[in-house]
Amino acid sequence: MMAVLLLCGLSWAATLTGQVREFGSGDPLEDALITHGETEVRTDRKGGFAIELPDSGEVKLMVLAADHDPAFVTLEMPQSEPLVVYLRKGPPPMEVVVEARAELPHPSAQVLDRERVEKAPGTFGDPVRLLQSLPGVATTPEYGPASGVLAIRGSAPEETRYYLDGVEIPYLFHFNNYSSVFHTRLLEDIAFLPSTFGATYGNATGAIVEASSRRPDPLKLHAGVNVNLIMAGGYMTAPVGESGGLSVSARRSYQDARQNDQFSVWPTFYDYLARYDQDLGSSDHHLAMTFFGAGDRYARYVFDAEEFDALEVETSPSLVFDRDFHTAAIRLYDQFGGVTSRTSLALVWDSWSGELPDENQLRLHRYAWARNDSIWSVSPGAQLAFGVELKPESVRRDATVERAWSELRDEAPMLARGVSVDEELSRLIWGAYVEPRLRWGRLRAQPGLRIQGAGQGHLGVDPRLSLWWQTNPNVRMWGAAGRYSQFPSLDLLSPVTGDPDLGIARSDQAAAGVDLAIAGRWELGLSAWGKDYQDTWLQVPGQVAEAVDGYAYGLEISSRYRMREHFFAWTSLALGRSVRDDAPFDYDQPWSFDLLASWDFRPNWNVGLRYRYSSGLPYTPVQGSVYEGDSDSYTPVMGEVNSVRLVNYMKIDAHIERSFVMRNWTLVAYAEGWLVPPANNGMYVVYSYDFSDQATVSGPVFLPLVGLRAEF
Amino acid sequence: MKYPPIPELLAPKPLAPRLLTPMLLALGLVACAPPFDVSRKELGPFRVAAVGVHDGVAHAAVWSGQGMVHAQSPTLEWTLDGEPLGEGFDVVVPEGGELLGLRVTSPAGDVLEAELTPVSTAVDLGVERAAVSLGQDLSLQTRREIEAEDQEHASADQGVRVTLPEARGTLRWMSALGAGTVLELSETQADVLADEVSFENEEGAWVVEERVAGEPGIYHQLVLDLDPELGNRWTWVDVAIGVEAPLLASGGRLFEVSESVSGELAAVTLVVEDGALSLEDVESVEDLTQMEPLACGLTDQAFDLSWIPEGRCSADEVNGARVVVALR
Repeated sequence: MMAVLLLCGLSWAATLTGQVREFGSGDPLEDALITHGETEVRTDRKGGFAIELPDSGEVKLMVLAADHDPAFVTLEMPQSEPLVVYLRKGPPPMEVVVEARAELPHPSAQVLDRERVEKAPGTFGDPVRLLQSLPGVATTPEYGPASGVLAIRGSAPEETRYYLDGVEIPYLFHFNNYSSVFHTRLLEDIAFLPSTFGATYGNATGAIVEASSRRPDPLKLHAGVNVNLIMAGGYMTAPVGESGGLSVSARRSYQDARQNDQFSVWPTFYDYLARYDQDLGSSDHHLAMTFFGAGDRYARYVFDAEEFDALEVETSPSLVFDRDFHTAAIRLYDQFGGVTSRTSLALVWDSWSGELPDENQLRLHRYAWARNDSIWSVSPGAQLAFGVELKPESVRRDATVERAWSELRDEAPMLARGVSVDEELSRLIWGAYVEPRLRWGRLRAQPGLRIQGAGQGHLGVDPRLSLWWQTNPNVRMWGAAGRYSQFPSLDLLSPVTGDPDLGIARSDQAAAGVDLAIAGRWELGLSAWGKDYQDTWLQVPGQVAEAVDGYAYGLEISSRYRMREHFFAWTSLALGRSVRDDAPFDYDQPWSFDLLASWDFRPNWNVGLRYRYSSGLPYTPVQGSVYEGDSDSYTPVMGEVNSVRLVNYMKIDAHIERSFVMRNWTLVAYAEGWLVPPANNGMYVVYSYDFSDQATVSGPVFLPLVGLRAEF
Repeated sequence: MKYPPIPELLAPKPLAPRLLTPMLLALGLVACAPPFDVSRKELGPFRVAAVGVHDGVAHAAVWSGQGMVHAQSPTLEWTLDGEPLGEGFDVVVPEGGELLGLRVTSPAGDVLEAELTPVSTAVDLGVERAAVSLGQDLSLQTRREIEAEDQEHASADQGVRVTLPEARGTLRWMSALGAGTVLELSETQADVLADEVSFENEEGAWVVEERVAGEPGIYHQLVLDLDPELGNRWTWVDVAIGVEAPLLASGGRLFEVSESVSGELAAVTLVVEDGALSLEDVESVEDLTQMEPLACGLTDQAFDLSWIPEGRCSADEVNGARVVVALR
């Protein structure tokens, strides 16, 4: 409740000029009110003001701004220098935004804003990782083979599409899922649509994750750095001219100067983002140009070097993994009368290589992206959303391989396939949709139709419907259903390693739920969902994918409690099953419980706790083995598909941070730690050389991380 | 560059936990799994150690899991391209087959299965031994700088450098019962120590974690040469470390005997006691007349002492038998 005042000398003028800024960031505060008796002025967009005052004697000013503590200033007139007033951020009103009342574009959507999740424990400061805590997302052991993957409501990770600023991106996480490929300080929010999304999105039978980058601040320079034990990075946003702005960010890991028994080149990763914004004539027409990309590189011994002696290591092959993507995108925001339009144009270059001493693979995926989303406001109760999408793509596949390197199935699938290939595949994917958005009193309806096609004669006609019924301001019921189709990737359609006749996968989905808001601070949600899969693809490493059917269903219960901005707690329980080809799916998780809480227990102090407990993921047991005389090795004889499970997984994360707020900048020191009890710590199963014995690999029981973040 | 096709065909290990290692090392933490009791480099439990086709005949080396003898021989059933081919240790393989199958049943009823692309070979692997004095530094580079001696057998503080000059493929060294330590030196050479040595990797360098002095004696290795063109060949390589008694050498195997013998053939009496084979009443001979017919053996050639650890001849069959063996 303190205000800080700076007086900067005396003046002979009767007009006092100055600026109102926020303490801690130095951000100018627009529309702040400065009063002296009957005289009132408001600050402009740069926080500046000019107020007429008596030319001598003592004057008292009151400075007010929304969400900030007021300041009371006593001056001796005249003043020779402009006055700068810093206001501290104050407590928010008791009534906070309740998601149950929010107007979301799709009934099952959830939006994570950066500010809200920044202090969430267990994310290492990465909001994207918090997606893994949302109900319906399979909980996977940290650093296990499925760590961080987004297997959502019974779907496979590759059935989900990821977007940044409207452009589809190749992958979401750096190696080992340590962090997402965005500098999160430049993220505005992340929309998460777990199923039954509207006609806006297509070519996905799973879910949609769409991240949006922040528009650069057109008024003030901001910058920040973040350093922890793994990586370092920085960002900067700055105004350019009167109506432009520039943001840049870059991060890189820095542990690649070391060596160990498994890596011949330590893993490195980086990412970058640059965004330039410019109004085109007026604020009704806005241009954003974005360049972003990420890369991961390392080299490791193919086999378990811990079992090797020195000669074996010297003569063993080392895989050099190198993957990066780069994107250049333009986004246009336009307002034409009652039509708002958003157009994205992008070029994406995704290179994925894997090199062994005498064998290698290169997969070069290039695509252009053109998309327009428009909303025509026909009347106060009727809107028409419509759009088109084009994605011409080509995949260059080049592999020289002598045998199937099944050990490399995740990192170099073409080497794992064991078939030499030299081909270039291309096609055009297109889509168009229309979605009327209608409102009758408390009822909202969004019928939609999406038509999409691709080469090979693939055509999807997907009708969808979403309904909301706001029975009263605190209760909302909703339901949604639709058909969702997805085209097989070009790799699956390869004449050499795949099946050109593979068809389109379809999923019929339905979901329904109710959201309650209680006392403006507590939200309860209940939702049930189901999916029926037809001709989805199941690929055994080293084999051609085949089309199979399946189904999934589940129930999700969630609670969100928030006390101003000082405390919030999320709790969720998800129950569900997922079956493919009459066997439990790889991400079938019958139950999962999540608890997350964050508390500003003192000014500038925050603590957080996250607790996760879930059933173990299934896996296929090995029943025996056959000795392969040609290679002195063993081939496992597999048992019933996914018929056993890892131990139930439990993880506790704690987070504490302290902010040191200076006048124009803020330093944040933070520490995180996780605890995985040994009894619930199973990442995956390994076998002895002949598969006669097995053991469960455990992850680290306790892992700390400390870091610093400074920004202004 | 030459490298092993698949050293041990581990279950395909996911990468992720390994990738965690560098980060966790910085924090002193690593993911872990309990070690297995069995290693591909040791002849431990009942196992098919090697399989191949030699001069058009299917052969297999079956490890008993109990030592260098089989109390009873296992049963071998062969198939070619899924069709039954025959039983036993000498089954002729017709040309043109693509997949040779083997089903091994131990006397206890345990079953092992194996398969092989039949490539017939006739080339024997030679074995050369030379004593070598290795210090505490057992790194590859240091060992490469140490010259072996002319002496074939090692004193108690030495090791034996084994060379297989005819090896053309990838060698797999398997220590019987895990005794001693084999340190590969090149594609055709390895140093065998009586000491039990364990290593740990420190930032890319192998350093000795523990070294326990071994006892003087004869250490047994089975060495398999995997060559896709020449086919699989293997040989037993025994090395003597700190053995004072005279030694009889036959087909890669070494036995302590009461007195030295010379020539090309020797008649010996096979004695099995406490699961170990010894040779008694050794005398140099000119022909096979002293050869006692054995159901498990071939009567028109000298007795091959590798037939015993490979399961062709059981302890019951050979105990007390008088046979003629080839020297060297």
